[in-house]
Amino acid sequence: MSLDVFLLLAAALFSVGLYGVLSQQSVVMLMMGLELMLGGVIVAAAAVWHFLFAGADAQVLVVVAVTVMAVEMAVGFAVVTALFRTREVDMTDMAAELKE
Amino acid sequence: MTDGGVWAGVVSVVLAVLAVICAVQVFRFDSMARATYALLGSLLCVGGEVLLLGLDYLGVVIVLMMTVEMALMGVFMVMFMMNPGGLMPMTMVHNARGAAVISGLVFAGLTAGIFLVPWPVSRTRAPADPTHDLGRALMGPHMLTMMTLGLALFAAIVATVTLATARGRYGPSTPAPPHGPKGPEHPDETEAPERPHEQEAAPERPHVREDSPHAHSREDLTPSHGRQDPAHPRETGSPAHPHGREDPS
Repeated sequence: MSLDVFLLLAAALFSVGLYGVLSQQSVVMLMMGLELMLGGVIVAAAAVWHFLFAGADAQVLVVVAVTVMAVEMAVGFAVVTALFRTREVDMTDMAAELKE
Repeated sequence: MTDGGVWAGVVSVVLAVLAVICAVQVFRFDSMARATYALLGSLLCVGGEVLLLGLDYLGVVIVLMMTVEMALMGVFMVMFMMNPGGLMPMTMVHNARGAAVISGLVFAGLTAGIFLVPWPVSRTRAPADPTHDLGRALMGPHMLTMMTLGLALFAAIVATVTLATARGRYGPSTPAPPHGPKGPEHPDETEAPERPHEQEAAPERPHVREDSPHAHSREDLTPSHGRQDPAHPRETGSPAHPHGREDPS
């Protein structure tokens, strides 16, 4: 296995997640796309650690990505809960009052 | 290459293929529960790849965290999604073609970068204990990163509780339904057979104006999708709201 294969996997995960973020109407599905994108970042950082720089910097990047995943999930679900309570909205198209 | 190296390579390729297949299936399944499990499968494969790359601690953390996170996501899926079991065909996308084109272009750009960039050759050997390295880095030169992550997690806890609690600033703001403490006086309760007649006057959605640029989303959400079913009490403005709270008066 080479660095290219892992980076290809990371690019594929990132792109599939990006498709989900751009196309999904449900906020929860949108967050699933974000998770996939961050999964791609984790694979890329781990591969860079293994093949290029065996220092701790790439590991710290993985820790940051994992933390961002946790924060995104928690705050995202809290926002969805607040939106649903006040407006009964769980779709991105219906939560765009600021654009009007 | 040793036998162990060959097997590790084979397992790594299998995990990579599985990760991509599961990731694609997330947005193809009708069932929200299956989509959640597909995402869990993809992220578990990511954790497996991290383990195979030698980051034992971070790989185990990813596997454990994703398992719990997807379990929570499954609960939220059942709470918020109209079709958690996938019993009816469902499509909730907007601009799917544009999104596919953009993501395809991004993938092509990243792939070109992967094969065109002259990656440096590593001159450092992997440490015997990368977890020890990570711990020393987080408690040493990367202390600021660790402190920032800690503050971010703490802020996330506070924000989550503030947003999600029903009694706070972001709690219910809708006016109280016009019925007394004895309960709603809507005809729904006494004239159940009349519900189809109500549905004709029901589909007005209070938060989407006719002249709104988002009015098209109502067309996307046909009753076959489950969300915009006119029989749903949410659409009728009925006091007998299924998610409603008790009238405080």
